[in-house]
Amino acid sequence: MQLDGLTGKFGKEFQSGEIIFCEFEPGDDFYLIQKGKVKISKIVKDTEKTMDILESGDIFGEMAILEEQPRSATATAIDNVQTLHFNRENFVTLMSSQPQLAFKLLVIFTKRIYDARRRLKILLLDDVQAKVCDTFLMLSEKEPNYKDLKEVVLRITSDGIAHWCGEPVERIQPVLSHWAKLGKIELFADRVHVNNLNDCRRTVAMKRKEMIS
Amino acid sequence: MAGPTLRTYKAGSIIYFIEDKGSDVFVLQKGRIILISNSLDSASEIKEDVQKGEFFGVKSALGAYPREETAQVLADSVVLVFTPVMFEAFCTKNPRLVLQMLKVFSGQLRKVHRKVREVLGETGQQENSVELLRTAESFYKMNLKDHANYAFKTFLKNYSTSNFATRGQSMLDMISRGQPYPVEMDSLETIIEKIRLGEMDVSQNAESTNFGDMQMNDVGSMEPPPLDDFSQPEDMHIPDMDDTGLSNDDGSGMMDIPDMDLPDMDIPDMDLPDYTPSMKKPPQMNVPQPSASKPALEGITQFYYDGVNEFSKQNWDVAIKRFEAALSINKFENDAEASFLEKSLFELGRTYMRKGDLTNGIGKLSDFVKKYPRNPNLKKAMAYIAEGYEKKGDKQRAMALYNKVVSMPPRDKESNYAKTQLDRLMK
Repeated sequence: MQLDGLTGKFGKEFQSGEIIFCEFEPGDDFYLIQKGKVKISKIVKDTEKTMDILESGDIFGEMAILEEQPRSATATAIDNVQTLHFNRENFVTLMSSQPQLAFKLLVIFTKRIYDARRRLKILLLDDVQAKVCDTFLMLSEKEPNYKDLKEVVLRITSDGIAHWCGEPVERIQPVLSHWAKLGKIELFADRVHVNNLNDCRRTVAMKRKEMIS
Repeated sequence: MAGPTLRTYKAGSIIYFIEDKGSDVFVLQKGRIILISNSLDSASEIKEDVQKGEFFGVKSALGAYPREETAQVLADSVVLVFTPVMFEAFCTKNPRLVLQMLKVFSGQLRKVHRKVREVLGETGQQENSVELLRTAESFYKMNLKDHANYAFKTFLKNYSTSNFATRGQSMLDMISRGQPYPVEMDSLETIIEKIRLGEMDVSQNAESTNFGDMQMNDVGSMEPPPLDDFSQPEDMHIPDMDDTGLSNDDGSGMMDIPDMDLPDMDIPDMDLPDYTPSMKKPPQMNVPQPSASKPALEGITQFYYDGVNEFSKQNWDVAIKRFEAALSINKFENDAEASFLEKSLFELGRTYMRKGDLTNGIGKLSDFVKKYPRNPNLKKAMAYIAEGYEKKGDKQRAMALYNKVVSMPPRDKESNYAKTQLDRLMK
């Protein structure tokens, strides 16, 4: 994208650790990262949950400008961050002059919708085991190389699984330990080795079927 | 570059099935097509007509994930088919179309986010101002003071007329003074719940809502609270409020709690973060010295608030003396004044608990429960006692008490807290 000419007019810098905007803050501007990393987080029950780490070329804050709604997450500069900063007034102009950027936004939105819906599907299961299974499936779906694989290694912690399941880790841990004892999975500090994803598929399918009936 | 191709479909045919992988994007030109998808909980099927000129298959094509619906042709149809490259080229030439799609997508995204929050049981339906304040307070609780500072300032800048503006300002002041989050204060949730239940009137007490149960009839003292007001603890029911629950309480079985005699044992401070008692603005006064010989009139309130002040400064021993002084008074002008006896006993027990003197804490709170089974703080007192027992290692007694709290109507924050603790202990 040819954005160099925009830096003077729209450039905005943030220091390491500086908050760029916070969840529920009204806002009508969005940012394109030119340099540095930005953490996107949400507060869940007085705990900060990191949703994403964005890098150069990524866009954030775009939601507020399309609808008059507050920020849906908090953005914090991880290191010194240089951004291009746009608002509602110049958004249409920008999108018209930078249609690739508009298209990029469109793609980002479709992915976000999918991810959010996928997460909701996990949360709507009414059984902890099925939720964990579906979390494994969801994580493997995110890895293109894992397509049709039965045995996968997923980079996630117990806390991470609990987060996806919307359950306290104390409820997730016994399930994981039990499966580890049965040899269905191997647990490591930062990853889970799932020996048979097909088991997970069956468990989730059965649960969904039960829920329908 | 070649443009999109025209394709015709016979009635009854399928353009793509749900879960298919495919990267083409379609536009209905003529005919009738429906999209059949499953609701998110898989419990029902959703059918949607595609409008003429409408794109479909966009999200799965752009996001490179499986189709989320089946596209079924109901009447002979003609569609335009875009490959991903064509679609991108088309979009870049038609930014207005992209803007329209962005609006639709952002709406969809927010809808799903809302649903996620609902499923997670998070409060998602509050006003944005309240949510922003909640976020600021969460940062503060997490000791992310720069973030909290930013969020409180943002809140005050955008919602300066909010009913909670004073609360926000006071917290901001506290941050600037380097003070920790006032855990003794009524949580935002508690205040909102009280307003919801009609126990607190926002319109009449816009400022007071910042301080939980702040004295409702003390209109004269409604000026912005002093900076250290947030260090004023406790769920106090102020005289003349007549809301002590006496008339509503059925008092069922409240006396039926385990014996409270305990061996002496001191352990470190109890921390009951989920109990965020309200901050109230005490009457304007100078901090008096305790004196049991003081006249009863005003004396008990004086001692009481004095104790509350000391409590907030974590001067446990001095606070204990003040509350004991309050309890030593036995002549009262009216019932309202007498009610400070109850409050003082409750606070005395809590102060012992906070000091780490569990034996005295449990003892005083048990006295409170036995003497004042109709006091609104009854459940809290029982939960504190339960926590004390647990810290002493008496899990059974702690569970019995939590169980008791859970069974006592109405279902409220204390019941939920007790249930959580009970579940935890039962594991």
